[in-house]
Amino acid sequence: MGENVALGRGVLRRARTYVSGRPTTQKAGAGVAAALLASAPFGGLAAVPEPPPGTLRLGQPIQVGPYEMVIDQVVELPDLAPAVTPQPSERVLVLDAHVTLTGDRPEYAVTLTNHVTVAGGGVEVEGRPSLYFVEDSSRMSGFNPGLTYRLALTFTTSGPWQGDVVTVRTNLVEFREEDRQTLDPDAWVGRDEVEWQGSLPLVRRT
Amino acid sequence: MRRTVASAALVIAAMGLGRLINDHVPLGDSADRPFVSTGEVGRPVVLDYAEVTVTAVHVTPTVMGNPASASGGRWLVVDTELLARTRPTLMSGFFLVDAQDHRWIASTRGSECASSASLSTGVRHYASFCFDVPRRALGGARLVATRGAWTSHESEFRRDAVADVDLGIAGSEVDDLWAQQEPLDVRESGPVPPGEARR
Repeated sequence: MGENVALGRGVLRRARTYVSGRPTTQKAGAGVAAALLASAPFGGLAAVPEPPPGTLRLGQPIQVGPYEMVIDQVVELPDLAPAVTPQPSERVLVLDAHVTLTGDRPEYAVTLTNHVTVAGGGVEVEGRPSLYFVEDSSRMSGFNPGLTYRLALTFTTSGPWQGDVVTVRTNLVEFREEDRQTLDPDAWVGRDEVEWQGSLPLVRRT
Repeated sequence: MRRTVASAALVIAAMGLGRLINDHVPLGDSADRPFVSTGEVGRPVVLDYAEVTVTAVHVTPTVMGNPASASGGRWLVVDTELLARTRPTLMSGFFLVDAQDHRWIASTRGSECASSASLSTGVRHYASFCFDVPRRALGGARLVATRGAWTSHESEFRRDAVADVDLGIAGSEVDDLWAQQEPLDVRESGPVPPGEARR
């Protein structure tokens, strides 16, 4: 017992001597590291939690990168001829929306369609959505700024939607002024982070 | 020792000169800038690969078709006559530049509205480009025509020949043009002159 106490005191003395011989900067660094370790049980080393997505509702203006989008209704149809004509077993899910390009330069529609998804309903959603004018069923490929259009964001699903709500999500899309990796400056870039999410009521039409 | 100091001074001077050139000589501009030929409505702009003539300019809220297409703002429709001079040429870049130097891209909504033109050598090609624009884009608008499509970096027509045609819309005319309600029948693109196509 007495030997163990003497041994412990010896270790402590050597440690104290070692520490006192270190420069001040090393002592400060070690102190910070020790404080971080001590805070670990209380979440000190845990990643900062991402903020939850905003709640998406019908009629609510949201920003998807450079686009302001207001979803007026979500509709399921057997087809949207002449724009979309799926297989008889499939369905077309339409986000009926008003979209405005903000900013001061044109943008292509993929900047919007690549960052809107739907989920739920017990069906598979095929690929990315397409964008059509409600008025004349023509495809929307490029926007000029400052104009508002009523557009159909269309998803083809593997079958009839089960249930009465559709989960709609939009990803965070940020403007990147510089990118040394891709040499692609001044571009809108989608992040793998949901910015808006909501359960919207589904309207069925035959 | 003296030699070492001289070498160091030489290196520092060379670095300073490089920095001076980098800061004050517009190398990027001269490397990227297209070769612009300007023109006006009714006069051909001669590029090394094509002749570009704007033959008419229309402003309308509706482009006829099946169904008709209403604009979000107004349709600015630019009729063109294009001619490939030496070889078959694809022209994919037709966009507007307004008085504030903002860009506006063409729409493909109207069934006859073109977004590009595939030209056979020596055969005149007629195409109309439809731009859905807000009021602020009309005054002083110019059509820019080139081979590369417009992108946000404008990188597809670097050092290429570009036609820049003033559409002749004065600021004082904008209100009257905006108030026009007559729908427009856009002519079909192709080698047939618009006069003959309507007969």
